[in-house]
Amino acid sequence: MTGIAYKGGPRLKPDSGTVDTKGVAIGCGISNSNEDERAANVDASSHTSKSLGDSYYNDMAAVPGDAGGFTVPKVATMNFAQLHGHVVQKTDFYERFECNLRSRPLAS
Amino acid sequence: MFYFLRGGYADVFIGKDRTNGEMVAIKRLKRFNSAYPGISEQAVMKEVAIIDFLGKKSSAKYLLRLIGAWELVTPSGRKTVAIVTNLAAGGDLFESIAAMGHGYNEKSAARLFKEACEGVKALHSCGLLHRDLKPENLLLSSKADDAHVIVADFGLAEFTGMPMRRVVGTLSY
Repeated sequence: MTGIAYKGGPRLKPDSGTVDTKGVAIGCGISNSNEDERAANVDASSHTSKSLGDSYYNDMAAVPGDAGGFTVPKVATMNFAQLHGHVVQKTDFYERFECNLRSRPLAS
Repeated sequence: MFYFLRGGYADVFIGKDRTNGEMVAIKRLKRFNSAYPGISEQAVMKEVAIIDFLGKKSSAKYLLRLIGAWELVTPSGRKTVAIVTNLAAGGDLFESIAAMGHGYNEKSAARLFKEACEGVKALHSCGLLHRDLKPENLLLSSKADDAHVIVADFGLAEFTGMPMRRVVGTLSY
């Protein structure tokens, strides 16, 4: 097809302006891009586990720095531990889903 | 038959949600260390959180839907994470266009474009910018002719209001 040259073509990395030649991950829609720009000028350390739950979606956090005046959902400024603690469930995966993760994966 | 994630950092399986019988895509991360998170772990968690956020803020059917993320122990005893989303069994729009050879007719193209715009509109209404829109990131819900578009891959997405000073996207576009 003309005009669409590269399937999974190189992606510009936000941190360096260089090109990620590994291509783009899609399918179930989650990529492996190394986005670290989000961390710039954002201090997520002030958020504690108390801010999780409903406030995870509804509360707003101010963005410091020269973009001062903007507010974003707290999820935008959370650190890894906070995100992991909220998003990753500890309940039994196999009780919920019928699948065979020991089988050969359909894609890697 | 199905189209799945590529990139080498996860194994992808099809599963069935016992609660409703829905077929789902299960992505088991190959390398995930929550004790010593690196950039990739953080990026994955942020993206999962963004999809989760979208699901809570929008009911648009044109956005990828996170069913959840679960802690898993692999057969070798290592802890990892499985990310479960709805299944886009039709693959992506790029492959669909390429497979057709002659491309979509005007009516179908208009419908798909409208659906993509609806997805992007829902994304923007949640205060998010995708920043990597392209046919590869527009999935199709099924192989049927009336399959609808699902906007996916939020690896470069960012909230409006957050610092965005660098150029991001896909070079070939």
